[in-house]
Amino acid sequence: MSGPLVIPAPDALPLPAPAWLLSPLLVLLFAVHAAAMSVALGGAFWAAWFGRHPGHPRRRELAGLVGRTLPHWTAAAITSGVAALLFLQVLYGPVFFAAAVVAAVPWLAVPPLLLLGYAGAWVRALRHQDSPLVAQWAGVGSWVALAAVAFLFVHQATLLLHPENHYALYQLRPSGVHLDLSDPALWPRFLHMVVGATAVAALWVAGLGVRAIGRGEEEAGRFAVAAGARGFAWSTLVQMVVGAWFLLALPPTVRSRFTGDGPSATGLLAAAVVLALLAMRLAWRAARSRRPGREVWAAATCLAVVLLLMALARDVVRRALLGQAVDPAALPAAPQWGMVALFALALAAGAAAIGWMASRLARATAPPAPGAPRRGAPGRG
Amino acid sequence: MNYPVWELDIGGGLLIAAFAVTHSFVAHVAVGGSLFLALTERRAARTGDAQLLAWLRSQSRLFALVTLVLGSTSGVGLWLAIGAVSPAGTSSLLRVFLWVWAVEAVLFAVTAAAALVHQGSWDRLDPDSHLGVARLWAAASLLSLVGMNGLLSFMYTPGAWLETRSLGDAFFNPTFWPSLLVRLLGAVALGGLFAYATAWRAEPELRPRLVRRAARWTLPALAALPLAAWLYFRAGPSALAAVGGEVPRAAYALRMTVSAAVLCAVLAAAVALLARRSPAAVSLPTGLALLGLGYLVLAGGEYIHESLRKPFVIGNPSGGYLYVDGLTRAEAEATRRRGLLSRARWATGVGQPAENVDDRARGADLFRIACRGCHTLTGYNGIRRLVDGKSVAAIDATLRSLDHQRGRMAPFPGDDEERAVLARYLAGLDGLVEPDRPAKAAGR
Repeated sequence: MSGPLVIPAPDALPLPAPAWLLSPLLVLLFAVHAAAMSVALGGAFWAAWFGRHPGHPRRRELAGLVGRTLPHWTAAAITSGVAALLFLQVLYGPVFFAAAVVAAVPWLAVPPLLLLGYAGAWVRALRHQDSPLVAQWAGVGSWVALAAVAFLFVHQATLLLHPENHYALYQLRPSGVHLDLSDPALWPRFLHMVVGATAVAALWVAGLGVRAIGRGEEEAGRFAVAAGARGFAWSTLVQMVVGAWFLLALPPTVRSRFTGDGPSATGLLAAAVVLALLAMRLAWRAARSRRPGREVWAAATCLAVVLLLMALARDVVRRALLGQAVDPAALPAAPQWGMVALFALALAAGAAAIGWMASRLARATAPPAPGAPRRGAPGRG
Repeated sequence: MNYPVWELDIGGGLLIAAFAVTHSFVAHVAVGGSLFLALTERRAARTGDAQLLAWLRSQSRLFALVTLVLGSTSGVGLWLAIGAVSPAGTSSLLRVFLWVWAVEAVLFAVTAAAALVHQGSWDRLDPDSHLGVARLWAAASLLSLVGMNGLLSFMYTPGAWLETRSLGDAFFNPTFWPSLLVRLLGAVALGGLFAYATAWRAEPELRPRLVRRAARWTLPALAALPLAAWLYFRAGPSALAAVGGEVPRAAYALRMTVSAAVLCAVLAAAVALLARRSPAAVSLPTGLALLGLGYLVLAGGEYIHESLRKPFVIGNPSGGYLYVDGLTRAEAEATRRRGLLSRARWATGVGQPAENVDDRARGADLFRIACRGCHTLTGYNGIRRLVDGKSVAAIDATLRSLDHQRGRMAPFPGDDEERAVLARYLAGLDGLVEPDRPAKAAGR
């Protein structure tokens, strides 16, 4: 549905930093968010997948291992997501907020679904030992809820790219109940996110296996590496098909940028495809290798670059679709350089604090065996 | 005017309040509770108190779970809600406070990481390192409160920022320090209340000690709150007059807040005193009752804070930047002189000849833009019950003097002709008044 192109005027207050600084930060933060979100969402899928056979001890153990990390990744996904959203709103506020009002009801369904997904991840993590069935269903529920959140985010991100639909939808019903499914790129874009998340999380599972091997849990570790690496390779294969569908669903003027008309966009996509294929090859090798650590790390490095390239490609699509209608580079800025420096300092201090905790944990002994004395355990002196 | 207005029958303000109060409550509990955990863990480690350590161990997991899950999801909810209900206000805040929020995001990340490590590493980390993680958790939470206080107090008292547009003036605004004191005391009180609410999970012989410790947090903080609140009201322009009765809702909220705080203090003191003789006093119901009262205190406080800002999203009656209808003062002055609808991007009939849009549609647009910031038609703060039975001329007279009404409303942002259109629209809402006839009379 399209009507008159109505776009809110940019805010009268200037940007707090030049667009050349804010735009790359948006891309970078989105890549970080995509990584954390992928492990949280895809991890919920793999925990449910491995946990579907409670009688298979190795699979069940792996489901528990993956499930234990889900609250951490969900927390990371939310924190990085909020940061990325801040930069998106400040740069693309006019279309972002207009879309948020037009589809306010679905948009406001995000918090309760997120609550279900996050709480489900905790139940999955905490109840694995004593109530495996509860943990399994909580994990499945968490995955469904987080996938629904992903859909609503994809819907919002797609709707904001079509300001030509906003006015007509709003005039039809100003109560914010619209779910605009008219964009042919919506479903492939959503599947691209979900399948991509499944692939990223599968590699995370392989990484958990490598760590287990490092701890001397050879058999369990090898099983996790093989399962994760195969899961990654198959998911990436499916992702290639979904990615092609996504590309074909883009408007021809945008698609052509990725198929030769725009050298940098074409280069981005080509590099991403090549690196994803390389990561897939490395994962296959890891599944058969006796010492799979190197292959898994190499595949993870390739994947990290792919995520960054995909975030850049997303930026290309956004700029191409919005064109001159919303051009952050044209907005006046009154840079708060002191605050930019403070943010950089805070980021360094935050990274140092998290690094300190990680180093303490790395140096710490492994969790005590069942029955061993535990600090602060109930009933013990 | 610049953005579309979400027609939400329960009221956008109520939706924001639901998220804001819940999020603020959890955030204050998180700050005070993490401080409580860190200091109590230090004490338990120094004295080798195994019972206390056992309670802290289970408390740490519950606390991390509750504050992370509820805190982050209510925070996301609040963020999405303010963007949909008040896009202009959210956009302006972002332009001023983006980097403060970015620093906050780093602090949230550290808080979440520390909470997750703390609850999951009792068996792995040595006591000193574990205590270090607890301190990090508390420090990051505390700093995040300082950051958010800068933003929230700015919304009420933008102060010199109105002239200078300097972030320093915005952050360290006239109510920054008293507001920080109020929030710190609130956080300490609520941190103690969370310990009350969960003390029943401890070994029976530990419970009296635990609630006495919680009382040493909650009661002094509650006792100091009136002084801090007075300092805050004194620093805020016309705040004392508003809570004294000039803004009836603020006055009611103050009474509710004081009553809930007194009840909370009495119940907390009673539980602490009775705990040794009647261990049953330390129970889940009393704990929930205390937390419920704490929630009311905080809800009242946030409501007062919101009422004092009116009719501004950013500002107060003695000086503001952005009205609740999403117009800046400068924009509102311009639309009063030259008309609102011609500048309203989302009004009916964009791209069509003006004669295609009838007065009813124009009235609906005017209501949406000028009134929906606070009113609905029939839901929260519904306009129907305020205008039913009134003549067009009476409504028009009220619209003419909105900014002089009790309750502090923004001046009507349209020209005379638009005001008459809105008056006719409002008079015709009940279907009983023929909209045109009395309006023509009033117009003449």
